[in-house]
Amino acid sequence: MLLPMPVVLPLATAVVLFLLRNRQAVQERLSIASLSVNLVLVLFILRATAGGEILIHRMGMWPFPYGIILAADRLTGTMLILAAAIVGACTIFAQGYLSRNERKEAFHPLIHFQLMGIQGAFLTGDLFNLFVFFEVMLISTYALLAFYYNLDQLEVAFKYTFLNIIASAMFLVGVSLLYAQVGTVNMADLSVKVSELGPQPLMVVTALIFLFVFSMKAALFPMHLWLPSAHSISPTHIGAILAGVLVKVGIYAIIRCATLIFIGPYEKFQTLLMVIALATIIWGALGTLPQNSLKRILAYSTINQLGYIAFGISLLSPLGMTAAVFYIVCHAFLKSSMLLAAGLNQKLTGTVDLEKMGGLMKKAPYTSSLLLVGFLSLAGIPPLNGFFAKFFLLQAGFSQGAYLATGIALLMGVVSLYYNFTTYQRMAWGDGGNEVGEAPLVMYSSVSFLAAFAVIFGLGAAWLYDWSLLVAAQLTRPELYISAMRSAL
Amino acid sequence: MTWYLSITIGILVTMGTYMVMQRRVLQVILGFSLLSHATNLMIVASGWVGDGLSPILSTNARLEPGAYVDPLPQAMVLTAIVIGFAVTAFLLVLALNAYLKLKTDDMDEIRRLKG
Repeated sequence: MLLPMPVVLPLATAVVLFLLRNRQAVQERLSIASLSVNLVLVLFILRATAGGEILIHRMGMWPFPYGIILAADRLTGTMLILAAAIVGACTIFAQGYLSRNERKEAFHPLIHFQLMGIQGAFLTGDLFNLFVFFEVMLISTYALLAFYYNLDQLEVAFKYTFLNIIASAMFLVGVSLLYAQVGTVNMADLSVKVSELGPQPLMVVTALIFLFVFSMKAALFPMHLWLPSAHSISPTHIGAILAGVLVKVGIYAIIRCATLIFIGPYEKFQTLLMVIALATIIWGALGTLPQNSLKRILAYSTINQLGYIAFGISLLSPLGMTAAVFYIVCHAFLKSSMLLAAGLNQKLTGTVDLEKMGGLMKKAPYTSSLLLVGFLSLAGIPPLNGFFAKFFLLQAGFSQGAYLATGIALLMGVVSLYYNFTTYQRMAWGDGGNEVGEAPLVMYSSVSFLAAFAVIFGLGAAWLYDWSLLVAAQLTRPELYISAMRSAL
Repeated sequence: MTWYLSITIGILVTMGTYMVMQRRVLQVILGFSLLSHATNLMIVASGWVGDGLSPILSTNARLEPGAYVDPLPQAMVLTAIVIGFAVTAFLLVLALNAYLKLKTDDMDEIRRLKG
């Protein structure tokens, strides 16, 4: 009965919070209490999956291939923790970021609907149900993006919404094509039946459609264009959730497709995914160079890092998958902490423009050192987690003989070294810049909580790497997932 | 029957694509609505097998699995319709807010205002 809880709890909370919209103090406390309970629940799920057991829950007790099945393996447990921790930290941050009269009453219910969509997408073992949870997540994200209804946000909200509606329509087209060919939407059943059918031309088209849909969510080249403006224009905590969790949902779906549904002859797509990943890496790294806004630099850096994650997946080997999982965990905490720190900075100095920030190191030493840790980690300086993430990835690439591709990835790592240092330099060194105001303590504490993981996962990299190995070991053996679902009671 | 469905889907997609490329927000939203209906029809079509009898068994019915349409896609399409409805409703509210705030419903104008 544990598995449906991460979906049911946010749903129930969101409804209650909506009814409490006129009583903001109660609403806030209830929202944060529910997020804490959710984190504990998710920790229990992670502990239950740690031994290698795959938890299964049949919704409505329908027999195996027909009903919706929730499943949790180690990857699901890991992703759930990311979602619960980051959404929680961002909500607490928002308490300081939003002032009293800024339409908070809509914020809390929406955040819980979004969390429900995210956690549901990680839990479900059914492709159509994945679509439903995607939509729950997206509709609340559309509304959160256009939070203040100002000109910039309206423009971004239209762009993001239109692109995602096209992606959702294509998702449905993909589901219907799959159903027409194999007559099932259950992921384990699909895994068996798609392999039995062999690489028919129509099935190849279906696989490409799913690649398109999920790379739109994961902001991979050439579907990454929505990401910079969505990250920089939206309220900071929403941008942090986007960068930390929402894009990972797309990555998660790509992992599921690559390791469970489209396996065997479809491994030819490896090359395509690798090219996409490299283009994403290059675009993201070079895109940071002309930017002046701290948030836009972080957004392009997100694109860059997503390219690295996709590169790890495209290697389709246990080592590559291990590196990708390691990278996902590191990047989720790191990037959301940095975007929150940028928001903290915005609260302090009233700007995200690097030129107007100068001299932050003297004026706001704590905030700028939080950002320094982040930038060092993004640049890949040991002993922070960003170094190990890149190291394991390049190691996996070289050990598989993908010298050219890994070389390009390595070269772009040098570019990221450059942009991370110059950004910090422009922001923190020198004099001038705006006066520094004050920010509430909750903002500092939530940023510090997330930033601490950059250090923890750096010093404890061996521990996280062992865990990623276990996750990847389960992913590269789809028969475990299939047999767990088949024998579900 | 599959032919009729295919042609209808084709017409809907054509109209939807044309509408999506218009400049006025309302037309774009209608275009997305048409596109989502086209995909809904595709799901219905994916469960269409054999003679297309409705999958309700009575005592003297023919018991051939091939004769009945698959009921599962029809259950799925209901969900998809509801989701499409919700997204359209949200888009209309967004468009209304944009219009009230910016006094325009022209996408190019919104982009120009942004500069």
